[in-house]
Amino acid sequence: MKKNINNELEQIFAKYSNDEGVLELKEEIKSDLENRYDDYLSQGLDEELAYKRTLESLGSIDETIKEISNSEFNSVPQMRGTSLNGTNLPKNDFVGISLIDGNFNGSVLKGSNFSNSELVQCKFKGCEMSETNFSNSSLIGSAFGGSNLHHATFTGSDLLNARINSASANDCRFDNANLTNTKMTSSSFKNSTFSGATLNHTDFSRSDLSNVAFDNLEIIGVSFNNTSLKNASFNNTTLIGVTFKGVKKKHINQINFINVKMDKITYSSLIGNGIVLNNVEVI
Amino acid sequence: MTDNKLTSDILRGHTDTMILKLLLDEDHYGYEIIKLILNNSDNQYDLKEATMYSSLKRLENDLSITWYWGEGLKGGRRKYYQITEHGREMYQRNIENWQYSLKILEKLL
Repeated sequence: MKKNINNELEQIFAKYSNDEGVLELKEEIKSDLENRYDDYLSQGLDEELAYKRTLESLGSIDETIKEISNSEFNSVPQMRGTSLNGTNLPKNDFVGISLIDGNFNGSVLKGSNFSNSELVQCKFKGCEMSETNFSNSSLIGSAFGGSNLHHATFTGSDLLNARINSASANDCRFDNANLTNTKMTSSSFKNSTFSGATLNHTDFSRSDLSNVAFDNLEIIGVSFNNTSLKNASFNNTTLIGVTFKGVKKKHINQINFINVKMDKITYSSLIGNGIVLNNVEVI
Repeated sequence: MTDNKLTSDILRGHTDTMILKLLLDEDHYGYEIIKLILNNSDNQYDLKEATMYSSLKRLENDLSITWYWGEGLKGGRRKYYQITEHGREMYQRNIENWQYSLKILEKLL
């Protein structure tokens, strides 16, 4: 029946352009209807009635899709205290600004320069921030959930307790950044660089770390659980209390742990995956 | 559930304010908003997806709300809606408007 719901939605949406807003609406409605269908079943409705009610709940959805596919998001920059959410400020110069609890959610900040700034506990959720420069900034406790951070620079920044979750962050630079307690989960960090970064209790769970080099680092208490480590490297690295649960065996087997030292916790996490380790020194 | 067309027209006219009220305290995703409205109305008002998403789009366009991708229960991503300072002001204004209208209607009906 869920397949039927999906087919029904595909048919309704087939008439409209595939722009981002429309596709996102389809994704949201699909998940809503599936939840609704499950709820009807758990209320004791039979499958057929549950299906019928679920489709009825849509209402005049064509009107809604039309509104969304026609609407251009005309956002006007607004300065309301420290709230800049929903604003369109591409390539802006914010060098050296100081802002605590600032709210930039939903903003377009592509290519902006926030270097040498203090942005403690700021919110950057759902932002377009590709090529944005945060080098040498203090970003303690800031949130970047769901943002586009392609080619962003965090070199030398302090991301203590920050959250970069569900983000698109390929080709980013985290060189010499402090990533202590940083949540970098369910995101894509393909080809990003971390040379000289502090990785202490950083959580990379469920992220894509393909082609990332973690060479010459001391990595402590970091979770690589359920990550993709395709072509990742760990040369000359010390790993203490690091976990690799659910990582694909073929990815780990590709890693040459050259000149690597690890403690027993890390060693057993890898061995537990059925990995054979020859060159490592257990400390 | 009410099938009275007029009643649901009046309710539908206040969808924006209902959603703003729910977002005052907490961020929510789409279906969560529908369920909360159903529960808070003692199962009297089942908001249609079409009505809700039109309303969310309107609120987004006038900068009353914003959204971000969060994690869903079974992996996947989910759009969470969040009220802005402007949205809070809009909510207050809508409530005052409603109370004013109510006073007039009481005299007239």
